[in-house]
Amino acid sequence: MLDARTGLLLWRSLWMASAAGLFAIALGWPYAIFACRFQFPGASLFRMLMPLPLLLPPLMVAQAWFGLSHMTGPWASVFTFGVCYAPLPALMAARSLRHQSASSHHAALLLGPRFALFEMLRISFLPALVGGCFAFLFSSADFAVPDYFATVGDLFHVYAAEIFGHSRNDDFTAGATASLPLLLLGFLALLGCAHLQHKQNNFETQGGPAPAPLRLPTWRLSIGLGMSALLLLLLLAPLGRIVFETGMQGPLSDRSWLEVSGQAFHDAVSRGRADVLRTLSYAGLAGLFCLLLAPLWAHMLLHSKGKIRMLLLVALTLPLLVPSVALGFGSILMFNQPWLDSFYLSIWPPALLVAGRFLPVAVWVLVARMSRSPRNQEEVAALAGCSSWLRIFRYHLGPMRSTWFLAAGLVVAFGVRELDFAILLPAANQSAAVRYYNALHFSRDNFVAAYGLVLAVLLFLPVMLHAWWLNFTQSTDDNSLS
Amino acid sequence: MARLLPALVGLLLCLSCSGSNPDLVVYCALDQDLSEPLILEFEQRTGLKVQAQYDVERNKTVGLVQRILHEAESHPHADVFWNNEIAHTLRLQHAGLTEPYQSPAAATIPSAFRDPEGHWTGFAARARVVLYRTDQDLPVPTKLDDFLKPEFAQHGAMAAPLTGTTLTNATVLAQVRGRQAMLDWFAAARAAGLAFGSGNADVMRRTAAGNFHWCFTDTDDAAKAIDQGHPLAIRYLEQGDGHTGALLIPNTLCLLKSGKNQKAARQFADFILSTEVEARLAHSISRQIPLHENTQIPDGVGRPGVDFQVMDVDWAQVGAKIGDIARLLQTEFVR
Amino acid sequence: MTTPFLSTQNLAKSYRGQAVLEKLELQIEAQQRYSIQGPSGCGKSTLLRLLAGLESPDAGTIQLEGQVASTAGKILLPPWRRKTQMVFQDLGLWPTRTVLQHVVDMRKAGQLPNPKAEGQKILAQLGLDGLEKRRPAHLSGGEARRLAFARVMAMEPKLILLDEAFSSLDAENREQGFQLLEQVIANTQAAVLLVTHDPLEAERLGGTCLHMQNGGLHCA
Repeated sequence: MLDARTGLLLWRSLWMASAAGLFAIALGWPYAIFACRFQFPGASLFRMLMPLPLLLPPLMVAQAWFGLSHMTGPWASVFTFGVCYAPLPALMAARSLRHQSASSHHAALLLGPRFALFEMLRISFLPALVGGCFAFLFSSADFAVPDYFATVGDLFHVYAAEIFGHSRNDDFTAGATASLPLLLLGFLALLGCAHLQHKQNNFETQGGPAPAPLRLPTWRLSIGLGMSALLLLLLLAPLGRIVFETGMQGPLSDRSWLEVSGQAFHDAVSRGRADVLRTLSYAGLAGLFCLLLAPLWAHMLLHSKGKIRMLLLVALTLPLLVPSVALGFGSILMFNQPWLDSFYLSIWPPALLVAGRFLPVAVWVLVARMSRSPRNQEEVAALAGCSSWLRIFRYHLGPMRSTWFLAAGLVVAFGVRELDFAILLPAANQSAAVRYYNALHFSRDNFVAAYGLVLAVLLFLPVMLHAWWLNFTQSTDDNSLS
Repeated sequence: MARLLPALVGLLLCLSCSGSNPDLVVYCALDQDLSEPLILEFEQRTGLKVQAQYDVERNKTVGLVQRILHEAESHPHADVFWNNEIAHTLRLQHAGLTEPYQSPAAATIPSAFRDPEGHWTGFAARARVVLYRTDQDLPVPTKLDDFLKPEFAQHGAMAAPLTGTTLTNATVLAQVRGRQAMLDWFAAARAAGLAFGSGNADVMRRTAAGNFHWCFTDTDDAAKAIDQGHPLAIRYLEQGDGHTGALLIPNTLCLLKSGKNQKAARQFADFILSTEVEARLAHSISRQIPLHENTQIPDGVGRPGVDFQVMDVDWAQVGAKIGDIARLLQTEFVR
Repeated sequence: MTTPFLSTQNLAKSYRGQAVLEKLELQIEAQQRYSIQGPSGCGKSTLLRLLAGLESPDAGTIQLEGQVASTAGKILLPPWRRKTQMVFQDLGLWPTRTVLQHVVDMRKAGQLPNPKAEGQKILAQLGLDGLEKRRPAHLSGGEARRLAFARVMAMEPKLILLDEAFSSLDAENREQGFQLLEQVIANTQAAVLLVTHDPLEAERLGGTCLHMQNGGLHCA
């Protein structure tokens, strides 16, 4: 583990993931500020499309960008990760901007739009940084995208490939040892995020109207153009390329693009439909678990201190940080017993694994929201003699139902994307992710593009509904600088 | 919300309890789009209910093979393993997990592609070939050692030998020339300018896109690129007197000792190893090369031993060495 | 006859079809004190936001030193050029800025000389010395209020708008608040407009007392 080769791999992973995190911030942070707090043509559409790049598999985006630009090497991976994970800082920054106090915004606006912008930057900086940390975490664990960009030019690998290689070669002990540095780093990153989040709580209002978007007539067009360019980079260009790839053929082909693309979408729907339903059933069950578990865990985290809090954090984040292949093998060892036969073959093991692995994401979202809600809401209920269950689920979570469902929805979305342990578990094997990657590696490129789009649309629907609901229910101070 | 939650829980519980026990469990590492219709057809013909589990090439050997090995420790499930290559089937044989079965349907498959005791049977193979562009006037390798010459290497690519058929190919190379010679060969190829990609499909795509003049890949990947209408053709390596011939890697089918449905497993083996299925795989988009002597072959698929010379391989030795070679190559290539 | 510092003509504003202000006329002379009383929700805060330039009126005009600053649907003179500052009901402090940065930012924005030195002087005047590096979350209620006034003082505005600035305080703290305001007025020579629902506050401020009813203003 300590030789020059692994040291180099680790170093490369670190700088690539750090650069990817920074790039994600550079794209996502301004996107959030302008989409959420400035008036320009189509601003609400930009807000709605914000999470979409996160729903496209990074490998699909890598292929699309290679098709568009022929970029290769480590920087191409950094670019792809930055584009794919930009919604993380964007969403976190957007959430904090929604909770900026209207009066502090107006106090800044009395000094000029520059000061108002600075105040927006300051209020959303830490959340954007937290989003960047998550982008760092996800980028450091991914080796498929660097592998893809290593095909042209000098071959390079990242540290995650080393860990995976050990597992592939049956060296599970070596694999477990090799995964320790990333595990530790991931844990430190999450601790850092928790600290930043705690700090951020002081900066956000506990209620009241959000400030209305700023309207600067002279800058309206420029902002619209800049945002369009950003959206093109984040979403439209790769999406357009993927749509093109659904019907892409060589120059000697006698079939039209429409014919091939139509066939690819037909195959995607007819062959992949049952897999999608199966995937949604176990990912949905996992979401349901998290709907119940995440508030309890978040509540415990918020009300615990010192070592207990640290213990809760470690127990919570460990499943997210260990390689998912290890979770799959662990599940086989644990549940594959003669007396547990029906259970092992049912959707419960994948549902439990998805829930366990992605519970930290749901808890994170809820902790951030719950820590801002007034303590007295719950205290009044306690004085009235309500049970803890009612206090948490009715009085504490009641006013934040949208965040609560968003947390569970994120678990479902991540569960649908999960591949490595899906292969290993009987009920998850015939899933959307396995079919997608199986087709990808057997060069069924038209099908892969069409199926990827179908999955992205399917995952996007609830996100879009959530965004629409937020737009619909969100109260603003209903004014504008015109 | 209080009314919605129980309804959701009820729905998902119903989903979780649905389904019944299958009559046969097949673990299949071949392209799902190719194997799934065949498995469905087997179900229709026999009335048996088959539960199929698939693999992803990225996870080969940490996927289904590892799953069989792990499940075997406590409570095995698979009756049949249909592998799209051979080396890891041999691992299962070495682990004592395979059940011998000499399928009558495999009688006309050459003995080189069958285990003498019937632990596994090869069929529908892929050859390691050079896929090259027909619209460029550049030299195309005819033998492996051409890869070491800059005039060839600088325009070509192959997958890094870390998994799949490329790893099998490297193991065969180590067996024929020796371990150090194999490592030297890869070092020399890299020094000559040969590009190493992440997988066969990737280097194929890059060749189809025009990034390379040629690539060293499998016939199934090559067939897909040609089928898509790219100006490409394939060349078998090491042909002619004094040459070893092209490496042919078959699909393999083995019955698992712990399988609870041995009768159905044998029925399935008879069906999959039939000339009819081989012909269908040969006519499929993957153009799998039939091993039965009497299978109908479509245009564009070579007949082994007739249209191209095939390399003799001691598969048992390959199976025994592949683990060590994989570890060795990981330290060489993962950097 | 001299031009008033600020005047409104036929000012109207409605929200979701409901009229809040109708044909409102108001004149504010330089260095004078005004208070507007009225029940909650009658449009007092809306009027302040219109005067500050944070919103545009639906009809009518606002003139500042003889120049049209806002007209129907348009803000011609943006808030940052109106020489106006506002103390919000919830103070509107900037959570990420330190106490000193609050006042320095104001002076920099107003392009006033010696932002740091003058800022420190203002903080000392209002009893905030020693708290320069603290952020609003770490100030007591009284300290935060003093900071809100320090911020106004640092800008040297010509008009100070107070939006229920003392409503949530007990009698003792309210008196301290008014003393603070007197200090700011003495330093800036600004006109003051206080909106409140409490007649005692209006009385305490002195100057012209107005009453808001049915979207218009009447002398109390």
